[in-house]
Amino acid sequence: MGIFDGLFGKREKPRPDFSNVRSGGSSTAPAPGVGGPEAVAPPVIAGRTYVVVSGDSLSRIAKRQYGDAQKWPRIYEANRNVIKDPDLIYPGQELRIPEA
Amino acid sequence: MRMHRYARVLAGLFLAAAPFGCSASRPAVRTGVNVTHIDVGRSLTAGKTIAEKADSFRPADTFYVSVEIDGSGPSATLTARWTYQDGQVVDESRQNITPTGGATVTEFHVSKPDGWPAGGYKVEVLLDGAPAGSREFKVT
Repeated sequence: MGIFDGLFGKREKPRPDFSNVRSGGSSTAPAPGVGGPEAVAPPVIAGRTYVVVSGDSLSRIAKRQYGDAQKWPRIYEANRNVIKDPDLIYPGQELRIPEA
Repeated sequence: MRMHRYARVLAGLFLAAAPFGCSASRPAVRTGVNVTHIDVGRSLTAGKTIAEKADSFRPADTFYVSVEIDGSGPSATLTARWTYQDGQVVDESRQNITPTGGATVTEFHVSKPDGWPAGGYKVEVLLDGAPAGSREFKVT
């Protein structure tokens, strides 16, 4: 059976793994609440927003954003207002990603 | 006299239908802020525009997308959604900004330490959740 599968069966190509993709961004426009270009010391913590997609976990997001899955508590602490249980995050949820 | 009555009825029907026709054909226009330019490339200038435009990348490259917007408003959210040819979402990032009135540029970038799989990719740019444009490119 296995032999025939190997010979004649249709082998599915494995899907590429993008779990270690790192991303970032910046803008010439100020962030809301920071003020105009003349503002010197923004009172907000630098960071950006990540939108949870299906299959995500905090450790997986930490791995992608920081290159280290063990740093997931940093994301959890920054989002305690929206994450009640670190094992439960939902697609579409917006998380703030603090600077590494 | 009879003709006049028909003409009035037809005119009434036309006027009643006109608003629907206009709203259906009119493109959705945001007041205040618009995306004016989207470029993809391998590197950025100091002003966050693309220094080296590209539609073909190598596996070790970092992908950059530069989004120019024009207008002003209290806030706007730009989203960059990167997808692979099989539909997988490679990454989705957002930035909340305050458009200051002139042209402002926002960049997003993604990298993959072990190299990008060969194939087609797309980056979609959304302004406040509405599609504002996309660019396709490939990795060879």
